[in-house]
Amino acid sequence: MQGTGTTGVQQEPDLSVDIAGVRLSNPVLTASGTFGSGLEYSEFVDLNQLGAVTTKGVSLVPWEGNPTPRVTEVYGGMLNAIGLQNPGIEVFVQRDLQFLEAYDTRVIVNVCGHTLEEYLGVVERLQDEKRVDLLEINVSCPNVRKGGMAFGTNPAMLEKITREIKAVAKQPVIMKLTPNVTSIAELARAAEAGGADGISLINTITGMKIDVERQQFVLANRTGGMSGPAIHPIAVRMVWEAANAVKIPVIGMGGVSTAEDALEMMLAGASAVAVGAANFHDPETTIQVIDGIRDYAVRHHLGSIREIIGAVRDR
Amino acid sequence: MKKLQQMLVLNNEVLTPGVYSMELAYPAGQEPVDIRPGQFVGVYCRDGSRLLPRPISICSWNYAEDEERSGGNGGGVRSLRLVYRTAGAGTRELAGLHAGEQVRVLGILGNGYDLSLLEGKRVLLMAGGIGAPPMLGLARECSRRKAAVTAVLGYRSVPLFLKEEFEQYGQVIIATDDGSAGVHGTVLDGAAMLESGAADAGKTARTSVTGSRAEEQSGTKEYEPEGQADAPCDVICACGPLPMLRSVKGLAEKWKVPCYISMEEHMACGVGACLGCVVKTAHKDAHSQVNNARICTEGPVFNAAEIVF
Repeated sequence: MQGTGTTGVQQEPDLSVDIAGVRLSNPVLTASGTFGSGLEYSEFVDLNQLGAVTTKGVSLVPWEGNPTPRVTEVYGGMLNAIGLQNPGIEVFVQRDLQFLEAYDTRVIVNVCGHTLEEYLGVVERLQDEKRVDLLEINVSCPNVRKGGMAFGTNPAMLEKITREIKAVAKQPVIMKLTPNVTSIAELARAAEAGGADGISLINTITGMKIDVERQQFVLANRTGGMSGPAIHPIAVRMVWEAANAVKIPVIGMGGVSTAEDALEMMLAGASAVAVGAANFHDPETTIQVIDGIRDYAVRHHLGSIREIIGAVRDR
Repeated sequence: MKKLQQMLVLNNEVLTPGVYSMELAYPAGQEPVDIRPGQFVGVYCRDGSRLLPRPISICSWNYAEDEERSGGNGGGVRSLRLVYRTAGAGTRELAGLHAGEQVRVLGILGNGYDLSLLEGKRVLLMAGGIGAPPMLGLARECSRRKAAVTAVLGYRSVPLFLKEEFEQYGQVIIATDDGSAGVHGTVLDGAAMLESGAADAGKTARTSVTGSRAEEQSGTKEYEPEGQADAPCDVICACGPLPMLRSVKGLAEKWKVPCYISMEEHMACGVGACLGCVVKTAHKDAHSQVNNARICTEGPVFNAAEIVF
């Protein structure tokens, strides 16, 4: 790693990072689906301090989502099968984007669909929305029967949908990848080949919980996506594999709850890091992670936090 | 108001096996101005392997000065009382907290009961099992607002918890699944007592409030049905397991009285962000644009007519 033992008096370290030409004031974002559109957590967190807010997945029309129970706790994490309930793109633009107008942070809009046409419809609707800095395309949700992960597990399909979305999108396009594949590197390369401006990973890992007393599935959907601190080492490994497979920037996520977790992701090759389920354990997690990254940069005499991106070495 | 604070455990004691009562004090300067019965808090575990806050309804609370509020000018809430059942590792951890320890608490969360709809009315409270705690705070606030409170409390078996405390605020009818105390059966069987045996008492009470009720009727909300002539109450409030709430809604429809119910569901964030704890609603919810309301935010208290069981 560079940066240790550099000369000169330590200035306030530069925490800004660049994702597909978009400058973020720091590398800490929220993970889609764990933060609404920021409103619910704005009572706990000054959204202006975040590198970006990634909004809950939005589709062309309102989606009902799955039956309940939709969430359950597991050791070191949780399972969810929300099923991408959302109010649809029109209400999202009028209400949620409008709300975010008041904040000086970047906005990443997570886009979902059952069909390619639905994804394209949302992307097209957002073309002229100036508040949107980046698009994150959800081709990795394990909890919807059509679309979602079905698009994100087949490299040829992923490359095609990426190319079609890029043809319509006016903002840079980040493809959000699922960990529920044999080779994440192959999927990362497919997204890059399709023209993606970046990739984000990991979405949740498909899991299951059974109520042994009732001998029933706990979740109505039977399976759910696992998130939380327990999945973090898996996410770090996949971020490292993906970052080494492509040249486009990587946004790392999966079980990040401390600055150390976020720094691991960056050393593995992530240009930015998202905090997800940890928001549920402590709504102030994002701010603690930013503070911890700043402390680390000072302690390691980094002029810029960008110095550590992908800097992990063999012993 | 959603806040996150460390609260001081004042006491944490067993009421009956597996049911605990814990009083938590707010740090100076962080007291909420007021609480509505039916609201809840999220209590975090210390063990980081348990990620999610435990949603626990507020049983009752104490104001900063130990005196009745004067004209709504309370000095703020000093402490909360939570009555909870140990259901898993998380609540067992809470049960192990001692006076003097700190616990991280999210909230006040949720909407609570609209007391203006209950003031001066004959209010029937129906609680099943661990649904009783929030009804106690509601009984107290109803009684302060000149409501005639009747509580039907359902338990699996003896020993009973909170019964004596309910008796401070009105008539109490007990129902147990095994018949070990009160009526042998559910809260519905308990409420049936009001229809038959206690009907005379009900009619007497009704006569005394008819005047004020008629006056209020002109300005009441449109969804409040006109009570059936011999209904033993003007309004029902209930908290308990889903099948019980479904039956209570049916009873309210039969009596043609409004019914407000406190719902529960597996919950994650507690603040309305994750959409984990939704309930099917009759109308499209303004937030979701679909027939799903968030129990943690639009609820946990709903007009029963709005809930699709």
